[in-house]
Amino acid sequence: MNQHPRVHQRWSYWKGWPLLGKSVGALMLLLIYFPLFWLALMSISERPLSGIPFPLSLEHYAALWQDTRWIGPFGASLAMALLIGVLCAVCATYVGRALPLTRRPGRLMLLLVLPLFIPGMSMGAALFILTRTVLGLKLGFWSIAVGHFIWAFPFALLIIMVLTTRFDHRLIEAGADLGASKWQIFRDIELPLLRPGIVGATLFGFLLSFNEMLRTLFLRGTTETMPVWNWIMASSQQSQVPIIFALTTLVLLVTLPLFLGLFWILFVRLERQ
Amino acid sequence: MKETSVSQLQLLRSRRDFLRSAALGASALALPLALDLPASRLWAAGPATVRGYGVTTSQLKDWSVMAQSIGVQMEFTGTGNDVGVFLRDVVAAGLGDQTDIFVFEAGTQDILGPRGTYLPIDTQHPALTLWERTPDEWKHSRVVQDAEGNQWGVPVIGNADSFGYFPEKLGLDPDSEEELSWSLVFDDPRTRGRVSFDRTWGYSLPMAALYLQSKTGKPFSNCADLEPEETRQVVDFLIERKRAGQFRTLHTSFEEQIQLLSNREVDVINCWEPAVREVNLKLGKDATRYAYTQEGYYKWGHGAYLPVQAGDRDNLDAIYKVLNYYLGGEYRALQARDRGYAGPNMDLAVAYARENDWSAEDIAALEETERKIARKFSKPLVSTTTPSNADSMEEQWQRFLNA
Amino acid sequence: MSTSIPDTQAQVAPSSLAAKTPWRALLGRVDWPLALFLAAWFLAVVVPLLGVVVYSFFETKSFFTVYTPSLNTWASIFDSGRFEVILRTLRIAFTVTAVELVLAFAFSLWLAKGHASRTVKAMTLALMTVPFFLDLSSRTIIWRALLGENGPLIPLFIGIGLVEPGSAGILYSEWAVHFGMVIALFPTMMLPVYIAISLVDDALIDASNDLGASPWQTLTGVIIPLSLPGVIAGVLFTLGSAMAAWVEPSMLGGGFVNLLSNSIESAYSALRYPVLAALTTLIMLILGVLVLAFVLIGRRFGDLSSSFRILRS
Repeated sequence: MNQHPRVHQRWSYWKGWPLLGKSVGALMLLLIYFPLFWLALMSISERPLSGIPFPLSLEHYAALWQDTRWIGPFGASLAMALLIGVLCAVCATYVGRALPLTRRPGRLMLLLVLPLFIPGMSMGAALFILTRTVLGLKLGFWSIAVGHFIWAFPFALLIIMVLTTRFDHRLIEAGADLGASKWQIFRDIELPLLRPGIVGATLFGFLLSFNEMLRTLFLRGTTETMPVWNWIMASSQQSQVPIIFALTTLVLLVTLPLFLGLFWILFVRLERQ
Repeated sequence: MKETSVSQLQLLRSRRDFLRSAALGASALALPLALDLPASRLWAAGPATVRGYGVTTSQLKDWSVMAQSIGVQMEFTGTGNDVGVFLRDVVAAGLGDQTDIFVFEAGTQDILGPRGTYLPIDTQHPALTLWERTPDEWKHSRVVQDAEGNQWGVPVIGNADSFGYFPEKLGLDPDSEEELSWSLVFDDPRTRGRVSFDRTWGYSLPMAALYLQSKTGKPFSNCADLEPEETRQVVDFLIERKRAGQFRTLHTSFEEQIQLLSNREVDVINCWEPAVREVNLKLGKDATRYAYTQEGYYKWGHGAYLPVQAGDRDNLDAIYKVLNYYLGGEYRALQARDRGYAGPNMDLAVAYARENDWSAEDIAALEETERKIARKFSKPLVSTTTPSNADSMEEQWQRFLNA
Repeated sequence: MSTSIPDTQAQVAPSSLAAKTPWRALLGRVDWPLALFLAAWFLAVVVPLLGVVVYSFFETKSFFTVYTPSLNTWASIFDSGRFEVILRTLRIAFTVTAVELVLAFAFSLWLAKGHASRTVKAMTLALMTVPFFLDLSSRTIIWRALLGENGPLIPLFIGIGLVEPGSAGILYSEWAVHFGMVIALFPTMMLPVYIAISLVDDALIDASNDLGASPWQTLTGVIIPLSLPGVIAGVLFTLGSAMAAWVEPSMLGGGFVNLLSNSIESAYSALRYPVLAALTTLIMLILGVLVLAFVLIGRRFGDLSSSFRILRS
């Protein structure tokens, strides 16, 4: 360490640093949300692909309502995302607790996060070649679920591991010394401490599955999920992009208040109590 | 997270009748149980239903028109134009188990017919009433037969593709029907940096070969199915043009074609004809035009093919009614009006339009489509979606993209 | 990668015990659910990837795979310059991840340890989560309209001197691809980094300040080491997603920025599975070497796996 920090690192006391950090975030949020609101605006424009909002029209929402084909894929994606979210939370919690107790957690960890490094299309193609070309299985909902789980699980695991690796194991030993059963220890000591991680794991599992596309393309058989449907519509000859804009806007209108509310309850209201 | 779908449904509920929403809600709940089925099957009723799968181009904008005419309902699942994905869906995903009709670009029957994946067409089927009067150039073309002349399909639609352009940018009359050279896409200094080229190798390589052979005077064996050495030559030419800055961008989808034209980002683009139509609806009549060319066209045709599993189904009669419908006037007239595409028996389309009191303008447009197709088909044409040299063509195309 | 195949039983039960205890007791010590999970994981992840390596030695002729071992597919990958796709993909993925790390760390530090109120924190996290629900292609299509040469943002860019008047603008370039990817992947980096930083005990930071450390010393001596697991997680998430980028290069790169996923999709269009297999094998090899280097360097500078070790009494 430096012997004379206050002399040598005066720059690090600069009052502007927090402002800089804040501005970075504000800029990124702007860049993320500006196109979203522009998209919402475009969804009521007559020529959504032109980048010019006027003249306004509600015709794309009418078309979306006329067209019921998106409901199936939407439901499929929702069901898949819920399944993957729950699976991820359960498996990641179990593995995340057990892994640090093994002798070589580093190597197992590497095995478990391996799918993070394999680009989606490669992983999808690898699973496709094995299941379809080599084993001759019929692909569908189950194979998409396998592909999604492999993709989402490392995220869920890492989120849980951030908590379990910092976990003071003496708490568990203290619990055991006091005569608590394994289940009691888990429920009363570990679960409350791991809760943010478990919520995060579920959420990541859900979100990664809901918009997953690259693996699904290979593993879907004939099942359609929402991103696949969007993709087919966008490349089809009857341009359906305006409908997709309308649909995305609806999803935004539902998720934005929902999540703002949910997070406020989780992190502000519950904490105060 | 379930709230997402519930509130979305509630949001929609205010818009229309309660019954319909209830059906949607019920089907959304039933979905996890029935996810392998196309959603529309869930509320389709009645035995006379035919399940189609294929390129969206062949769809009617509203299938209920056909249901009224022939009493058969269509549930159509659209797909992209990608032959690899189609072959995979049919061969690897076993799509024939749940589909009655495939509609795809010519070529797949050469592979899937002899392999026993497709059901041969029974041209004597009683429901196929229009077969006899359909001209041989359509019904016996390589779109629906294999090299040995086996009948694997029924012709649906077709066109000869060239490129879209802004006449004013090229100093041409808006209503000029002058034959233009493909050099506007590849070579012309006036269009340098103002061209968008399709990124699909199966579509763009044959077009480039067509131009190059007329430029050098040395014809290729088959522009649509180039030998590896020939592909190399064409790609060398394209790389040279790419480095010279001829192409502003490479596009990938129909929606991109429309966006590039309607935002005036490019002056010339080798796109599909309906893109030009779509753009003119917004920018005004004849703002963009679809070129007549000197060198020739990329000709394509869609056929309707039956999976071998359909042979045992109880809706086989309904399937043949749909095949017959593809040959009839109503389908022909609607496709020509909505997309500018032609097909067999254009005369029936004109007759249909007259019977149904279409405006004189619309009837004239139909006749115009017929004339246009005849004019284009008199030029050299290149065509195929399943070239036997697909491997080297795909490989060399990567060389172009990476250069 | 195959070296990481675990012998689960030996790992779960310490070998010193294995020598002394009878076989049955050993079986009782094995964490069966974990062992089963690892076995299933091995089947679903490692076996397909090994299959891919084998497949890369076949080739495709006219849409059908020829199962005669040869090096033709590998030769064609180098002949067509396809291996450059992998280098380009890695270069862009690493650049984006580095930019992302700096941006996300700066913002997370402010959000977690600055004076942001609880409401601001919760709302920011919610805003970072919502984009995951929204179709990436539609969000990216919008940028194409906005950045296009006739788009509404171009006068602004000309105004600040970013774009020369009359030029083709910034769309259809590697620049645009980077731009799109940095925006799309920001939440992926920010969420784990934020969680990690917010878990650093404020008391430790105060103690560091009280002992006379400069903010820079507190950052490098306290916050960064303690948030390292989250930072590593964020880097892995972002790098993995960036290497798979597909939408941004095809929509904003104008076809000139050919990345791995685009190249794989193209091979798929001719059903060239062996090419997919070879590309996948190649990127696994390169990443394997990188991970190995990472581990070796990590070992020199201290035991990296210690960040995954829990406190034992």
